[in-house]
Amino acid sequence: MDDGAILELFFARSESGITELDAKYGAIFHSLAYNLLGDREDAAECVNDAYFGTWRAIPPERPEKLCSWVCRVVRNTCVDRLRRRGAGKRGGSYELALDELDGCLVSPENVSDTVELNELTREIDSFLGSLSEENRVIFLRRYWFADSIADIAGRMGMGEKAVSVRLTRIRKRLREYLKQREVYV
Amino acid sequence: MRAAERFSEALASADPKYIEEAATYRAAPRRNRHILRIALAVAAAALILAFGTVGVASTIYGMNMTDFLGMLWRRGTGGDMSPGQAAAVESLTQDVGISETAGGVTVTVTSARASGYDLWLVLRVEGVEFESDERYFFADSQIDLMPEPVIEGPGIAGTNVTYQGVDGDDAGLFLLEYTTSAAPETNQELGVALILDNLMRGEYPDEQLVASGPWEFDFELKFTNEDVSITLPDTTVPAYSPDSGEYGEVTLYDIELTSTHITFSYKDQGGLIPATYIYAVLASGEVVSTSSGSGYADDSHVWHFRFPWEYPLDINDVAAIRISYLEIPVS
Repeated sequence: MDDGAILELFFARSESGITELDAKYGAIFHSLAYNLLGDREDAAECVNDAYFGTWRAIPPERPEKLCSWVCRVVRNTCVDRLRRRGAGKRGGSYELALDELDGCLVSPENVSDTVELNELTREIDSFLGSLSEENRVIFLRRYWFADSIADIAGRMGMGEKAVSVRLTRIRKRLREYLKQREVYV
Repeated sequence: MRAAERFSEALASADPKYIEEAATYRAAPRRNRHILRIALAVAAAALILAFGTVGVASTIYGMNMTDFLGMLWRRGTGGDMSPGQAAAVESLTQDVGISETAGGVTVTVTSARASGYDLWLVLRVEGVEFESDERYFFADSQIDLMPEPVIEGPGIAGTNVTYQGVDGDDAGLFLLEYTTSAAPETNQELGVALILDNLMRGEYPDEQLVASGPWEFDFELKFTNEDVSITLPDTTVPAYSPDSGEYGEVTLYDIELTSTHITFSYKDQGGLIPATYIYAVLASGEVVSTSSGSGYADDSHVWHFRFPWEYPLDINDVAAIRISYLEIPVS
């Protein structure tokens, strides 16, 4: 079923909208939640919560990109749960991904110099736009979807070493990009 | 909230079109990924030999690193490598065979020679009418390795790409050398990411763009680590201090010779730098120089140097090492 038809089911308040959404994109949502949480049960709960959130939001929302819109709901739900868990109990590839990112971000000398979150998103969008499609996907699969290196390698048809090298290079580029624009996180 | 979490939060709201792209992306089969095995053409045509660093006008048949270095060796010496030396080159050679096309020009990394972190790559460039007496070069070349070279103290790493003429199909051939003062971690596959920027021709300041890059490659090489090395006795060699202009001597120790490089250490003595004209003198009388070199000083002010040979050697062929005017016999 195409996305437009799924949306129409939501607008008609038909619960089969959720069934169709799950049939089409459920694997993506579950994999995202599991990457972030590292626990199947928690992941399933978060995906269900996200479906409920989607049900409540559509209508009136009519997302242009249904998959990425719901992915964001899943991600936010999972990150909220991670925060509740506390830093010590996180683990998983999300934490690893955060560790990798830490090394390429520049902290400000004064807190007041920290960039606003929406401004940071604009800068990130601009950075993503400067990457090749392949590099953009690798970057987002690692830091948005929290995929393992092995999973990214499988998806991209590359070796794991090649993916690691590529990520190192993109992080370097990101650091230079943010530094040049004086974007402090 | 730590910086990475804040970044992650901002990233969560990234443009949905990028998230959709990443969520649904499926890689196409790797473009032009194939092993090139071009048969050696019969060398019926006379080779036009020329020497010098630029505009090397010669026809080179065959793309493999072994053939390629064999040809360069013949250029320099007029003879063939010894069977042992050819075997040493062969043992370090790996096929790569990855092509990337940009601006109508296809660059292929055909073959590699790896020793620790030191790399030599043969690049084949199609889609350009190369002129024999012209200088061609890439505006920039960048190599990233995984695992990343870890350098204790200040260290260096760099690439050098030289145009070496054309092959039998008029494709341009380039030799890329990468060297670093970092010590390698052993037995790990080496992930290589190479970016070549615009292909240029001519001499400064009249350089012209031939083709717009970049050409980007990602590939893996097997780690090759020589298991045979010869340790030479400590040797005192002439040295010079660029700061004071004074001459003196330093004693090199831990001098170790392998088929691909020579390493040594010395204690810093008032900024004296040892003569770094280093050659391997072969039993046949041929002399092989070092192609580049790098070094670093550790916290104890001890310098550690590493110089790759211009060509891999059969270590059994080496009769002596010449450092400046001193010859150290190799038994």
